Amino acid sequence: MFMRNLILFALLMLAAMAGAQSAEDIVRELDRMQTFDRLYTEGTMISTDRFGEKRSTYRAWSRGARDFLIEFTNVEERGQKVLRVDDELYLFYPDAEDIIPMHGSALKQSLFGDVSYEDITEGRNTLDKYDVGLMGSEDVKGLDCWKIEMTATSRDVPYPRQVLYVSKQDNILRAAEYYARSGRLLKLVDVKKVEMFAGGRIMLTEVEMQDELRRGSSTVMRIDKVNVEPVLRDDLFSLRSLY
Amino acid sequence: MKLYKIALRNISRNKRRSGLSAAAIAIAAAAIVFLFAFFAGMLNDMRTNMWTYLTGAVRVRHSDFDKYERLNPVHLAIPGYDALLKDIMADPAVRAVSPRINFPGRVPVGEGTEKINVMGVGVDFALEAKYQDYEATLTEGSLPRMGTREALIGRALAAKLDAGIGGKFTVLSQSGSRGSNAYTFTVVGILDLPIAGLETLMVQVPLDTAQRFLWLPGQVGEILLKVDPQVDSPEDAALRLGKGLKSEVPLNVWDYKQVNGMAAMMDLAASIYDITAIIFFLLASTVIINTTIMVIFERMNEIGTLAAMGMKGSQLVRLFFLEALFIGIIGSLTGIAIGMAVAGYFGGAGLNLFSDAMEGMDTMGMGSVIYPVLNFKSTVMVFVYSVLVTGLATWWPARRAAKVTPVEALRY
Repeated sequence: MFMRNLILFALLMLAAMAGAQSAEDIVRELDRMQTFDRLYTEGTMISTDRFGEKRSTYRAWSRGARDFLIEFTNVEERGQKVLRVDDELYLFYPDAEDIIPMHGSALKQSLFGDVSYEDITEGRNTLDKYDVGLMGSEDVKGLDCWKIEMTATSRDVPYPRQVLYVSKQDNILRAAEYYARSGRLLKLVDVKKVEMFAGGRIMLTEVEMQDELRRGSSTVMRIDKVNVEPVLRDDLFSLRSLY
Repeated sequence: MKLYKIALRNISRNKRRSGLSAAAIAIAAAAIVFLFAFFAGMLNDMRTNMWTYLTGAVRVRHSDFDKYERLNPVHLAIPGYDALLKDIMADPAVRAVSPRINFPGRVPVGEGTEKINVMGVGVDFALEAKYQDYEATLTEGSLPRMGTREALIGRALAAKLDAGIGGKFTVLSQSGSRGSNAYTFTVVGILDLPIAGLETLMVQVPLDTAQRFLWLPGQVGEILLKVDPQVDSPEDAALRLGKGLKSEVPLNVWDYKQVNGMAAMMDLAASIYDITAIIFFLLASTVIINTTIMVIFERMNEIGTLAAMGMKGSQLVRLFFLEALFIGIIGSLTGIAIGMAVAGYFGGAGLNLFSDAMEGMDTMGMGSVIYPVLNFKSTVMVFVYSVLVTGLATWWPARRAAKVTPVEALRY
């Protein structure tokens, strides 16, 4: 009888501890899950708008939360690269002699369909840039999710306010809403597919983004191939490596 | 003695008075002739610039491009344009064609923190040399060779980019694949364009290079045409071509008035110029009328003497009318000759009134240097009007003077 009560007490305590998980904890765990020491991916971006469908393929490398390189591999944009290093963004075009740095409002321009440059290159360390708070729970496609509000603490972020929906079951992002300072909804993110890879790492492998300012358009980013912990050249994330 | 002989004698008898009257008429006529030529030059300039750089007399485009123009749909281009060009060139009214690809772009400068907006145009320089007046605008360097990454840029843009002949710059633009691309171009020529606004934006590159840059193989964004108005109007030519041209994609074949509000602005400008000319005309008329009336009232003594000698009232009226008519003819002809000479001189040399004042302004297609254009019809009208106003201006004072008795007239 005593043992049964003890087990019941222990279970209740665990449940209470789980329920008491803070928004900071959830976001910290999100960052941890989405940040890789080294990562190589290949994927496809499909943009649909009033003019039809556009499809581009790419390969991308990342190191930690700050270094990121993407290279387009489809015929039309073959060889074009976007490099993020030391919080700076650079564009490389095979037929241009100059590397083009991107700053300020230029980062809001479309890289591909509804996806802007800052969307794909925003680093992690979310808690350094946002105040987060738990808004409650909400059902997202049949999954019980935490609803978390993130309010920017600096102007140096693409979206001053974000609302995230994170599955309570596996602490994985399932949807997000990005807002302007005025409160206007700018973008919707819908996580379509999640996969587990070697080492138990979980990744979002298909995400749809809708820019609410571009009527009737949406962009799907799909990861087709993943290599966690690949061997990377030391100078991969440098301007020299772009040429 | 016949009245016209007396009138001529009276004119020559008081040369200073006659000269002053004729001079007033001449100045008014010269001013009006020049004004008409100046306004005609402004309108001509606006139309030429619009046809050359912006709209063509007729423009052919993918019909959806016009619909979505604000989204810069570079991919909505015209494929197989070679066949279209042949059909267009076969039209009797078409004098020149310009197949083009327009691409708004940005040029990073310095450390890349600043980007300068440019308007790129891919052109076939062999055809373009017949379409644009490069002899006047290409003031430094040479035309780019097809297939190369050579470019012409406006002088003001060259200053902004700090790039002279041989200088390089990179243009970032949206491509026809609905992605982006960047090319580095070498400056081989500097353009002194008539529109200040264009000179700060214009980059011209070979059409085939633009097709590769923008991923538009064998395609153009638009075809601009110039038509001979003596053969047909742009409206009728556009209508005819619109019915005849066949393409894989739906086309809009529009005359320049359909293209945008610029043509409506031109019509408005023409009306404003007409009203301004009429106001000047009326002001000049008051000078002529005033001079004529003053002359008649000044000569009341003479009128009294003539009446005392037996000249009838109707003869007096006719005498003064003839005098005014002769002075009017001499003054008008002199004025028109001066006006034509001045307008003719500036028609060749150009009248640079606006270049500094209009720097950086949207000049609605009007160049900073105006070349007045003489119009035979308006010049004849100025002559007829000046003579008519002078003649009519004598009617009332001459009739009044004729009714005055010789005694009263001699008291003046």
